[in-house]
Amino acid sequence: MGVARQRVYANTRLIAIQAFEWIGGHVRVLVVQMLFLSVIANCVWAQDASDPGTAASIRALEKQWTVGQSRNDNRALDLIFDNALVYVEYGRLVTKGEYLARIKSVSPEVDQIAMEPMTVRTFGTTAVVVGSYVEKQRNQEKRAVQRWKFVDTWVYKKNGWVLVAAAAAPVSNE
Amino acid sequence: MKKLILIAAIACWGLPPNYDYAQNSYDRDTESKLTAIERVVRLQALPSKDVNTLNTFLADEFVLVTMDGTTRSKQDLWAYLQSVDSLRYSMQEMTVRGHGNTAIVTGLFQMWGMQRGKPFKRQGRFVDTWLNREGRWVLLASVSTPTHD
Repeated sequence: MGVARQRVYANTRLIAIQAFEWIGGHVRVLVVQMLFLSVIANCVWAQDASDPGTAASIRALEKQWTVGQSRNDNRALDLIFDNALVYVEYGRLVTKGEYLARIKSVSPEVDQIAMEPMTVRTFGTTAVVVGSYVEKQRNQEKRAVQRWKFVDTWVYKKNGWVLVAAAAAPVSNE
Repeated sequence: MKKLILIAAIACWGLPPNYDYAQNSYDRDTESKLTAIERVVRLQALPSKDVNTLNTFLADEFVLVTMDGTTRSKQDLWAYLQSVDSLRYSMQEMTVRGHGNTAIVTGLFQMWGMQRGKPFKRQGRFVDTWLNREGRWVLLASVSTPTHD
């Protein structure tokens, strides 16, 4: 084998090794990315049915909602409500803007809410909460107490869990 | 390398409108599908007590909160349907809001019929939570509330 030929062979070998290292590096990155994605996917899937962590987060958000409402804290409520929120209040369909505007104007002493036990069911990035609460209203020296059964739907989006729908039915006293 | 950057830039520049188009198309598809399913469930399957069709669209975990604040499971709903002699249903103002694999359907309803020989009539608003489970929409929860508007 001549010197020139040996040099060409050595250069070719070097290029081949570098190419393999480059491909190997990218394959490694790709494998790591795929593993990462599968872990994320598994985590989301594993939230299905009864994930205690997710359920606890949703319960905390429900509490945050009640506290935010009692303090007229629109900024806190704005963060936990989706912009396309479907909210049914006393049978009326109201937008997020309308609901926040009402909360801002309500005096906390007039409208008091006491939450009762609730059930949280998670389905991946969706959570359904079923529960009840007692609403105490004071209008013109009159006190009214009404128990409500509610269904809230939460969806996990870019910035966390947000409320997408909420509606309640008055519990009949009969 | 420059070529690669140029291709990536063109691809990224093209992404948002395509994504929007795909999203809008997905929303329209979801809306038409769920509107059709709601009609099948409420206008056909419920009045005819078609348990097979209801079973297809109602998740096993399905929960219903009725207008009087009673919570009912899928089994409770079957029992209720058995107690009803006749049932008619009508719907108006249905809207669908999609959130990925979740969708919220709301609308106004009227139902009337006979239960154990006594006529009844109810009207209100419903809010349904649907989940796309492995390509199939299933109803997770439904709440009905009396209307005041």
